[in-house]
Amino acid sequence: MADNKDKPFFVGYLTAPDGLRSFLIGVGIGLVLLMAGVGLGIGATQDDPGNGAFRNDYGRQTVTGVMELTPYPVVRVTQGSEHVPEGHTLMLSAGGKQSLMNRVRDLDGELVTVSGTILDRG
Amino acid sequence: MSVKYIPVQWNLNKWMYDACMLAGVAAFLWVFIKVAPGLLSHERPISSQIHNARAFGACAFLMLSIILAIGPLAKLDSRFMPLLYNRRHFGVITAFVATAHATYVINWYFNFSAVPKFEAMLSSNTNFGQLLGFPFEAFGIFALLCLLILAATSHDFWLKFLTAPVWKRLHYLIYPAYIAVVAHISFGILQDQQSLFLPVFFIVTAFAVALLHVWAYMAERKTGDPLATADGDWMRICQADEIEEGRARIALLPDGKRVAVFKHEGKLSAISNACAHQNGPLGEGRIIDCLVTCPWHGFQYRVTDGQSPAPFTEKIPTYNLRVQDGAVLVDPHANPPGTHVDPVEVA
Repeated sequence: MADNKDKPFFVGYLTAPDGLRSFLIGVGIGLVLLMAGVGLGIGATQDDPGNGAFRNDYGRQTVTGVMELTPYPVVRVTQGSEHVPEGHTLMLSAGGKQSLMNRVRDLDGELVTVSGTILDRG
Repeated sequence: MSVKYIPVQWNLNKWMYDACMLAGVAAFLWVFIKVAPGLLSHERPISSQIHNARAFGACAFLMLSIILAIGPLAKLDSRFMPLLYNRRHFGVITAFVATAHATYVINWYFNFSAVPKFEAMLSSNTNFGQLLGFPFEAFGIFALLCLLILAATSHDFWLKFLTAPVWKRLHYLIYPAYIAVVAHISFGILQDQQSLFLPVFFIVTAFAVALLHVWAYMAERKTGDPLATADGDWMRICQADEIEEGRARIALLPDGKRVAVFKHEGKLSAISNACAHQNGPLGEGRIIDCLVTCPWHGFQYRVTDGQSPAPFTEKIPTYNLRVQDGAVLVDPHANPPGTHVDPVEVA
């Protein structure tokens, strides 16, 4: 490798040589600034997660429609409500990740009446 | 160097090293978690669990990239050599940061269902046959396991127990781990990214790490250690007057090992170039207080017998040497570690 005969020689358990100390301090400060800068850059440019929210202002909505379970439980609305028009497709959700399937498992293709709060995906 | 195992042999330089590293990590996480949300103009905030997972994940990627850049930087410019000194601490902290990322992800994305979260993590996406929607979690799991293995075996106990060559090969796992992290990000968050900063930063950083390695490799090939030339049964290393007092010349022997010929008090001695600690390049070190001092971690050896001074017990092989017509000739058959060889006067 390159001859480093004229360069200061660092031994970990000894005091850093004069010619190297300022360089290492600069590297240390640079490291902190770099990490802070990258943290700011990535953190402050994250994508907008959207404005999804529960529409509690609509109040509870009750609609009738046909249940489809594949690929995910939806209701094809045949009789709508104030905020859910006829012909609309409602994607269903429930508490936790499994409780919805437990509740609708036997209703595939059935005419059902569902009631709940609208969750706007944003 | 130590005659017994202790958790960390602290000294001022290690304190300084760790302080800078931890300050960097703290700065990254504080800015990302506390400052950045105030700069986002989103109508609704990002869930704190997701935000934290991103912060620790991005921090781990940056730390891993820095760790991998240190090696080639030190080869290209010896002023970066001190960054090698305590790099293991950097790696251990990176493993902790990566574990925090995984913990946030598992406790958020794979929790709250009837399926246990670890089972959900392994079973929720098994589309290994397609590129779009590939289960990128697998890359992350592999990388984290590698980092944890490296962190768990980072102590000198494991270095001695496994021997330096095995330990070094084990720690080459850092490369597959980094490739897995690159794949984890590429098949993960980059698939659904609208902001440009992260993709550009990620691609530039990953390419910079790769480029540094290629650059250092090319530089090493160009200015690497010369091959010793045969002179009968002996190998010719260099001219005796080319070696400076307190320094060495390194040459590659036919068996692939390197010999370092040092000049100390006007006499020449030949020892193995590989430090018994981590195979550091002793020939790039110096003689300090009459002892050859390794440039990586400061392990020391007597130049005449390759033994560390008492109470230390490390030993390296020595080589028989002679000077003929001003040329330094070395017997390519190494002596057993710790064998005394009388230093040869330079004519």
